[in-house]
Amino acid sequence: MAGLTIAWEYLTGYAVSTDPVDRNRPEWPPHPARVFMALAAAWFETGEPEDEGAALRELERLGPPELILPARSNVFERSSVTLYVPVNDKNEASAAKLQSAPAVTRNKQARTLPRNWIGHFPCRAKWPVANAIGPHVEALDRLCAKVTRLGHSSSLVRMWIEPSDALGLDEQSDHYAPTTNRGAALGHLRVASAGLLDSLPAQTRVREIERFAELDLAIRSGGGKEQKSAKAEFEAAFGEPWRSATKPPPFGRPNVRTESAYTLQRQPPADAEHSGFDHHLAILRVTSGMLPAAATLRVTSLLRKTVIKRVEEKHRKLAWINGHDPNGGKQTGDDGHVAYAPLVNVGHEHSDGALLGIAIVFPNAWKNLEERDEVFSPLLGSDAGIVLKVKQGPRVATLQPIDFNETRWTLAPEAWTSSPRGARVWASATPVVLDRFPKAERSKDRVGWTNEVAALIISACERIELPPPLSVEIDTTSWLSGAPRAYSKRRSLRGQPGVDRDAPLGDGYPFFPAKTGSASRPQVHARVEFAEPVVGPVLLGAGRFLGYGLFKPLAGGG
Amino acid sequence: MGDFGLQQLREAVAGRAAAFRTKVELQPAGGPGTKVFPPTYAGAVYAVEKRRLPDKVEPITCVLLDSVQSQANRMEEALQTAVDEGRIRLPVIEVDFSDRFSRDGDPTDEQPLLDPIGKVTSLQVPHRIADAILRDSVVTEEDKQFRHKDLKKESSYGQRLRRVSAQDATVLFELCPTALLFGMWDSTGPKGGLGAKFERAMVSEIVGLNAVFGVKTSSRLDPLSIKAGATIYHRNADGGLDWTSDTDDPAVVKDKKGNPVPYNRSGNSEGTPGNPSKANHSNVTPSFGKFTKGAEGLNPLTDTDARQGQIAPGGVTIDCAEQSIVLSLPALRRLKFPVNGDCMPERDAAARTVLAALGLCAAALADESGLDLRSRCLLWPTQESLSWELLQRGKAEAVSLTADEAVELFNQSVEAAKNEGLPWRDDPLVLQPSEQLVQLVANSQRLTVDEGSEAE
Repeated sequence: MAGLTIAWEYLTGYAVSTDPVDRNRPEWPPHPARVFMALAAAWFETGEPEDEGAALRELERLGPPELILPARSNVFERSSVTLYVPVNDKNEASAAKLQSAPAVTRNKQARTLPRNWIGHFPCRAKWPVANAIGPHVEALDRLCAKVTRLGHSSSLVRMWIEPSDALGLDEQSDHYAPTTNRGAALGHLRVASAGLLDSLPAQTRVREIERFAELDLAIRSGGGKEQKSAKAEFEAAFGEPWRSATKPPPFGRPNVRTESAYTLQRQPPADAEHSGFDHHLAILRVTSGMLPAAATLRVTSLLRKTVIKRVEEKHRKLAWINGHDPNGGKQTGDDGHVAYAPLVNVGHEHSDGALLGIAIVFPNAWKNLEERDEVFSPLLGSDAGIVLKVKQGPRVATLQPIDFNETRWTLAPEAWTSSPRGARVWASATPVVLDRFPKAERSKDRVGWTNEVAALIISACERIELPPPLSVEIDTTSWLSGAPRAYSKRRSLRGQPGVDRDAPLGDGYPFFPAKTGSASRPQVHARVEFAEPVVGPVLLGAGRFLGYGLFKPLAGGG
Repeated sequence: MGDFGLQQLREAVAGRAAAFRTKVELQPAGGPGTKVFPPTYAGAVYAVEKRRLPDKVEPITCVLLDSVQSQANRMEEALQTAVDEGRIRLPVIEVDFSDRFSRDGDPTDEQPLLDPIGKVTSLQVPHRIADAILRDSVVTEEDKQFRHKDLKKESSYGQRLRRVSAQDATVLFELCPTALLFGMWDSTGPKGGLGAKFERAMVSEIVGLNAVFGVKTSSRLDPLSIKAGATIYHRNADGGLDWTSDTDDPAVVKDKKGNPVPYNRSGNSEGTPGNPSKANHSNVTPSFGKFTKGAEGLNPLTDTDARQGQIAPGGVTIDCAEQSIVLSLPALRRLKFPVNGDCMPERDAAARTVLAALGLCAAALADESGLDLRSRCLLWPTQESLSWELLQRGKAEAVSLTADEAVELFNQSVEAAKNEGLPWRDDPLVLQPSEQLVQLVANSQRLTVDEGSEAE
């Protein structure tokens, strides 16, 4: 079973191509149809050799390819800017000077040229089964060598056929695979289909326009019999007599109507230890209603209720979702159900602690992936998103699944899992709720209390199948900039009878709800360091299923 | 030139190599760490991006210092300088405005220009040979418009340009080979949007690496100590000053109630009417540069969206700047150069070799002259000459060329092409601007003068 891999490198390190949905954003991943159209352009522009045309027609019948591309974490979008370029078609007085000839002025028009920095990693489109292309490989390879660009004219590439059938996957690459499960799709990409190549001349009307120009010129410049004959040909070709005001047929942009759903298949972790939670996260972004990190519990609790309600409308009660056995009792065994992790903007210089999204975290024990898809696809595939009425002032938050266009690092699974290589040092973005009250009193025996809390956190690591950390540090302030304190400071109020004795001071996470009649359990921020890299997500403590105790890899150890 | 001469270049162009590529390290002329100023785009924003480098854990911040389009202009400028100095002979088309400006500065019907323009060539106009300036000019030797919809009124050169395509690029090779190197779209010729289109074969860009953004301050102490409270009013200028602080001045402009009208120069929306700053007097309060109207993109000072009125970055310090230049060889291999309808592989190869040599030469000449990109952004290469990689399948061959070597290689390739029977104009094709074009330029100059006086 022979496969086919077409590879290309962006020679300048940039992919300059516009996202058809948002003209101010660059397209990523590059759609397979774009690769096909670059090959088609090379073919049309080099005399349409017959054998290369046959190869293209065979290629368009192979179906959607897999894409092996540089990892999203290595692809960076240039900030959108509007530049003004001198145009050639406006004969108006202007005061805008030309850079190349300052004595001359010219009207300028706004343009955007969105681009991504890719570097020089090769990109690949792979068809695992491509027996039919066998006889055409040589012609296709010749055609690949003629391709000069993918996207804008400044997006120079070199393209070739990869001799090996190896997938070429490593930790630096993302693997996009076509899928028939639309609910599980992360997005849809344009792909070539049978007949596309032969439809292009009619779609663009290039040949009609060329013919029009040729006959128009013959009529305008000729005379006598030649002109008469050209006029007759014109009428036969265009169905109307020639007139000096007749405009040429309009140029049509080639249109690829076939799309395929794609999923992003993340690399399995290398040799790193990983937690009892699956590193494949289903991520929802907050699309309306700015929320602070302190709203975590409200949002995760509401989302959990919403998910349970929607799932129970269509399915039997699922222990994986609600954490209870079908008879309503509390599920035994640890980490046997879904958790909700708040993706908060923390950990870099300008972090503001905003809650940008929520990750639905699956337990590794839920191995039935088809069941997962069946349960969550209708929920995550809906365009309307999930509307949550969060009581944070008048705010209503809407959550929607992320797609290919999401570039914020905070909403990338790797930001929270450090997959595939793992990380040794992790810090809490939300406070760890201790599984029990320490026996030592903090005010009387600070060292004893700290040691006991560290031991509780080590136990929490072991509970989610992580090795015991080498060291644990505790504080009320997070090691990640932008994260609120583990709990609000209080200040006393004086001289105000009838008012509570103290009030919150500054930012801080609310206390995790306690059982009726009990005091809230202590919550702390922590930094944990493992002997070897571990892959997350790392969710520790009693609040882990609702997003408290979420850790993030700490760059450089903090 | 070492081992790389005309024969090696010809083999590289004729073979299956993908491109010549070079990465040039540049440093500010003031020394490493000196602040440089990137280009600003609509709203005074910089184009910013991140990159991941092999030797750094975290992605670094980068800023665009010179765009692809600007770099093409600079390389053409370097070629123009070499032509003017007689170092190379390159086909150019020039429009000569010299006779349309009066030396004594008084515009007339015959000489309506307010400022001299001199000669403008196809190496300077934005759309190269397809530019409207050339299109709307007259070929002196034929007394016919360079391009015209009516074939009978069009110059022979324009008529030949109608038939230009990748399969027949000879006329461009003869008149404006740089159009084949830097790209061209004959979008306003007889075929309109479907006119000949040649994509660029040469792409260059300069990016500053590991950028740290500063701010730009502005302030002024008035040497005359004019204070903001001293109000000024509009007065009927009659060629003199159009403001006064004397309310009893008979020329002062008054409103319906008979009150003098506080001075507010048109087009200047900032500040309070009547303030001396409206006439460029008094102090300027110390302040930071800010984003202006139309700002969009990133504010790298805060990592948030840029918005009008926010403090904007003003200059950057960088580890170094990287100029990346790529010359695509498949783009040249697509071109054919028939003479009298006959195609010959040797002739095609000779013409493509000239274009490759022209690209290497343009890059080397621009590199040799240093990169004075804009005010406070003079960069200098850290290496003596450009070191290219010739990208073959599975390997890269090193090629080093000084500017003199590149010029010699180019001149040799031109001679070889002429020997193959390819047409090549050593002297410029001279055009005269049409009356309508001269009038349009004169109107634009007036517009510039008017805007300048309003902005003062």
